[in-house]
Amino acid sequence: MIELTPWWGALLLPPVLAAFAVAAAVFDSALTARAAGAPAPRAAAGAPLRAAGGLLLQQRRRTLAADAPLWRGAGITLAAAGVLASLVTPLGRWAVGDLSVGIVWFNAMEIVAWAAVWLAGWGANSAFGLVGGYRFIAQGLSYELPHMFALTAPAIGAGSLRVADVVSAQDGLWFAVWMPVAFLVFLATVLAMAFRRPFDHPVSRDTAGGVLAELSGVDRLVFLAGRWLLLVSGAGMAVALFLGGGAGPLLPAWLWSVLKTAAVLAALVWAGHRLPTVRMDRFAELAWLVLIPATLLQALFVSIVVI
Amino acid sequence: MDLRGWLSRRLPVRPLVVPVPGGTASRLAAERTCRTRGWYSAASPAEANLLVVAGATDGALEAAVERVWQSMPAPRARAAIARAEHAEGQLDAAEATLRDTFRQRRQATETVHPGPEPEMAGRGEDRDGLMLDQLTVPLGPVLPEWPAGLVLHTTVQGDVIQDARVELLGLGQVSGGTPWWPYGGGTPRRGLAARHLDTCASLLTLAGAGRAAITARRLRDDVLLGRPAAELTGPLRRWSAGVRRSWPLRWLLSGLGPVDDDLAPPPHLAGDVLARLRRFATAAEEALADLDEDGALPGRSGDESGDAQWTIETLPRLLAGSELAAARLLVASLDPDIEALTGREVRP
Amino acid sequence: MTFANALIALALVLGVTGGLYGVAHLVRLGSTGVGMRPFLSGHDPAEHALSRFHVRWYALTMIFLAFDMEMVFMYPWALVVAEKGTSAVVEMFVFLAILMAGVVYAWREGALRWT
Repeated sequence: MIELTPWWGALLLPPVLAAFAVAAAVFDSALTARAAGAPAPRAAAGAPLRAAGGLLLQQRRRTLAADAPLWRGAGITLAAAGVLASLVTPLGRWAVGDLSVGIVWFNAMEIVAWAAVWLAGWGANSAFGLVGGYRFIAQGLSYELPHMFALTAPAIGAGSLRVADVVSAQDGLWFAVWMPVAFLVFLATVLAMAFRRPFDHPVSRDTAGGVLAELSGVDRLVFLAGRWLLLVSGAGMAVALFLGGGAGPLLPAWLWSVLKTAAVLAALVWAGHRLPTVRMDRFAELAWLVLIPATLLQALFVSIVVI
Repeated sequence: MDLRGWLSRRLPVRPLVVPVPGGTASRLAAERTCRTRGWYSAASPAEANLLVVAGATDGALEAAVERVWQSMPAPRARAAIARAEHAEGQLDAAEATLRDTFRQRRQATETVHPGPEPEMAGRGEDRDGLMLDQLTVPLGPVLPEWPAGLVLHTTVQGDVIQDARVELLGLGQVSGGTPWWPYGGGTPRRGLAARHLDTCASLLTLAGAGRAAITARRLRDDVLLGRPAAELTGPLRRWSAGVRRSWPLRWLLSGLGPVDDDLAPPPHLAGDVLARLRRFATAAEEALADLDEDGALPGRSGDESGDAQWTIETLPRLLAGSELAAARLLVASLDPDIEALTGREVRP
Repeated sequence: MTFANALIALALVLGVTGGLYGVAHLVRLGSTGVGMRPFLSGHDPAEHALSRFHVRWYALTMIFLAFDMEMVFMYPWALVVAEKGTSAVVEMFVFLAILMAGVVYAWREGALRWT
């Protein structure tokens, strides 16, 4: 059964997420280095940390007539949203937060990213940043509904919006097995909410980095960290909702949670290296005419099974 | 402990390469060196810490480079690579400057000259007749994956281009000639294969197909370094087949940036972005078939200056009403070789 | 307890972020560059970029809002569907089918097309 941690559990949540984020960034960097034929994979493994150090060193910049508070606030908001989204995600038998509407809480926190990313694009008073910010809103309009219907399927299956109930409802069979559509759509939309490739159009190179175009120094570091935290949160929630949480033989529950989250995270990062950037002029139709009906049929199937 | 120095020594180098007409050889050498050193290119001045100018600049191009330099935060260094064979040395020197904390701290105190104060956006009718704000957004000369020396002065509403005007920069420094061939280990076919691979690499990068793009760059460098054709055949075939058969690329690029036949395009520039990508990938593969022989060349008509002239004349018409992302992919798929225009009467 | 933990986690995130800003302040190479040009391919901006943006997806936004309101019903519905049985399923999915018909109509009108 899942129990609430004492107050110090809340102090462990951000470091655990950060550790996952660093591991994912290292894996990402190693994949990039291998493709580029750059020497020394070991150097590539250290690259994200060296880059973070470099950003501490780097001069911050303020663009002409920038809306500084909104712009700077974006990174902090993104990081906070990433961590708070994971509040209700259990690690093995422990969860930092236990809400009867845990799934809705997760949903609400990751939506905060919309505001954060758009503000980062808007605040810099830069044409490319603005284009990137609006691209993310357009992306959100397409991925969010499939995402919410994918979240609903396990809730219907468990008859509860409490994450702990969803985990225990998978005692016999993981939801990923009999809700494969919801599972796959959920994973895809996690990439979209963390605007990672193939959904990286808001930070794409054709607009010189879009919302990232003007960020430097520690501002950039916090924003990028927030983006990784959001991805980790999504991967963690996928494990709780679809992969049976900490369930598994032999090993302790917390270790199963860690291993499953790492596997999902690795799959997400790997997928980003395999797929080209999806532009919203193409994705909108796919999302509304294929993904939404598919997730709705999935929800219908699940509700017929439970009654 | 000197934390600043410790971090400086470990800082990853993020180059922003400025292509310059007449500097193709320098650009290729710089890109190759950066790639093998694991220096991934930056997308904007804020992300970059190394400004690489590949070729000799003058006038308006020099001013553009200077503005980009001014908007780069410390630590920063610049390398002007006038000749390809000096690339490694120049990049070494720039890296040393970049990691020199004393110089960087002094540099960080230099004042920025922000230029004229911008105005509020003006308004104009959009295609539906709504009055909306208009912005002037020039594309080029300093922009990732952008042809050397090309500037498109666009007026945009949101991310839709209302109209575009072409300007060419930096042609005063070019002495003319066929710039791609001399670097191909001697043979025209190597030069041509490399040219096609270079175009594909930019286009694939903009399409976000990172792996295919990096592979194209590696193959391009191998072709130019004179690696035996027998060793190149396998990897190039695999890459070309992968690009041509990829269904995500087909889904994302088909119907994009179409060039109608009534615009009388050079045959290899006709069709949409996907058609051009596939054509260039095929042509690179075909050029490889008898890499070190002379004879008729596949793909490009061999008239780079004619292609470039057609492209700059037609671009404004092709771009009106186009979305920014589509426009970028369109330009990359046409990839005009601006430096081939020297010696011709240029009519943008 | 949950909300106390949420506040603790939030405080830690803000604290660590503040700490990063503090460290960056100590080791940075120079003070914040002010009045930097936004990147415009090497040109000076002629206008402020903050403008009324031409979003071409207002129609999409409207159908999104319709579905978003629907989610307000669907979350609580998910809790009771098992006990209410068939009638709840029929009601919800007839409602969703009507919304989907709206989407198909919007698609045929070209609302999902970009340019």
